[in-house]
Amino acid sequence: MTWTREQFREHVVDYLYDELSDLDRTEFERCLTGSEECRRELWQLQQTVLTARARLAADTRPAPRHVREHILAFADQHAQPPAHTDLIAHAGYAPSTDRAERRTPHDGQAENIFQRLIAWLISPAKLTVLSVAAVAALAVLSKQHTAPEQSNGVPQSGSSATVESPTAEAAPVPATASQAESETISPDDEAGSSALSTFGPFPGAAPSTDDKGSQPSAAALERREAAPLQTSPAAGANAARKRASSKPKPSIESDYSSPALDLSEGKASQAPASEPPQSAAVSGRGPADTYAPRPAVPAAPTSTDSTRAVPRVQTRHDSLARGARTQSTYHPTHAPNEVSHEADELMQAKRYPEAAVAYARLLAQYPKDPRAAYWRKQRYLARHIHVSDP
Amino acid sequence: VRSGEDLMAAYQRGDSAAFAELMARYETPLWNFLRHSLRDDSLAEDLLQETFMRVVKNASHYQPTARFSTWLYTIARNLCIDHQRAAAHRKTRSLDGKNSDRDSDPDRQLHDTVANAQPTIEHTAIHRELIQQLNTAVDALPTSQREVFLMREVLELPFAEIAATVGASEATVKSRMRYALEALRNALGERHAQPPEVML
Repeated sequence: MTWTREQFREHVVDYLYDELSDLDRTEFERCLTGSEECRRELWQLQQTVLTARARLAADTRPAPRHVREHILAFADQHAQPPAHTDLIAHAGYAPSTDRAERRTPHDGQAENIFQRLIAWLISPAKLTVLSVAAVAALAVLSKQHTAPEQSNGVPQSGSSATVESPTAEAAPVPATASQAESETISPDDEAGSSALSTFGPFPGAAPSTDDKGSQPSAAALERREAAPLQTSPAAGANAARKRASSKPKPSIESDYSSPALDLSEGKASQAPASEPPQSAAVSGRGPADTYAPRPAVPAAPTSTDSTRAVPRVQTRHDSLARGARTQSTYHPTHAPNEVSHEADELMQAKRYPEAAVAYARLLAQYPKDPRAAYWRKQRYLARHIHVSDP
Repeated sequence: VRSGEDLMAAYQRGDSAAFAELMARYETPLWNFLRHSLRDDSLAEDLLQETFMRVVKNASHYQPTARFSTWLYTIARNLCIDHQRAAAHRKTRSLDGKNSDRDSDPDRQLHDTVANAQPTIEHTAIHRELIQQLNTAVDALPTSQREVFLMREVLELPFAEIAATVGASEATVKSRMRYALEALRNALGERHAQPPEVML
């Protein structure tokens, strides 16, 4: 059965642009064989397409260069900084996609530090860790309160002399408690230590280096007065040991008295007796005073909420791992000079792609830095040179 | 070769080089599409710039479910439609009209003040005349047919993507293309051309 003229016209465009199926092509060519009018119409349309295509090709011009440059500059200015998840993934954390999906156009450079802090604090993971820290702190406090009741029935030889000694206040028992606290809290969780610091130093806690020169408060004095009842035998033994010799010699009784004391003893034997344990120093201060570097980056969290909650802490760790920051110069809105200089050196060394990445990373991590405009300009230059350089 | 969708996703993550690659890939066909659609290079420049700026501004809303080229050409097409609607209500001055009421020469027309971009070389003039003939024929096409013809011949889009861009069925697009080719055949004088004997 041969196609009608109307069917031929319906398929002529498909035939011209080679979009006919094999079956339709067979029918179409059969129609061509049987009709001179169809052949003439097809040839005229083919000539029309070829003529139009040739003339259009002759009139093709490249886009104006200034328009391209203007658009590229505009695109460079509006380029979204890498999402926090990218930074986390770069540092070895599991990537979180939902954060990138929820990213709004104003998220990134326009997002100020307070918004990030609030978002970080109200995240479920941080709330969980905070609640765990609070429960642990309450448990330690209740333990401190119940310890004297338990020790009332136990004869405490030499404990009164130990407690009356001023060195008893530096006994490692509270430090042990704080270290045990540090064991329960994630080492990466700054909120945990800050939450502990809100409870103030524990009764009889070792004063931190910052607190040495300050006068104790009335509450602290009350706690010190109540300290004899709260001091454990291990504290007395440890204080007596400090008085007797600089080399610690743990007693068998103290080793079996508290499992947490093993940690304290081990660390005390490694560190000088005059230096308080680091975790005690961290728990005795707020996070705004100084920043104590954490020992290691934790393993990748499994939940998405945890990865979403980590960014600000992670950026600090990332810089600290590179030795870019010190405790005294840390400020969340200012990049360290070393990192900025590294990017400048890459630029001077004509390593433009790496320089562009370095500047982009600076802009992503420190969008509020006063040098952000300079970095943006340098990043644009680095990318522009990189793109146009053959 | 990275697809347009991949490049756009990279730009969403802050990779400006990916956007530069997108521009290098799409700016020339889009620029020529706008030129032939609008017949005004300066206006085509504006719309080319506006199209890519809209891509930048709406980059965060782009979903890779649609092809990037479809999204880009849809933006450009909508801008063309907006301009043509606005131009329909805009008062225009005829080039054959009087230049200005304050002009000292009453016979001088606005056409005389327009810079002549025509080269003086004869063969170039003939060449341009042929191009002008096609442009006139394309301009005479209805908008729906013209955009389909230019998308196919300038942007080299398949009919399925043209259908997605203009929001019509593929059969409708092919029908518009056929009408456009028949109109151009008549305008370009191919209507009376006879095929060689071997084809008959």
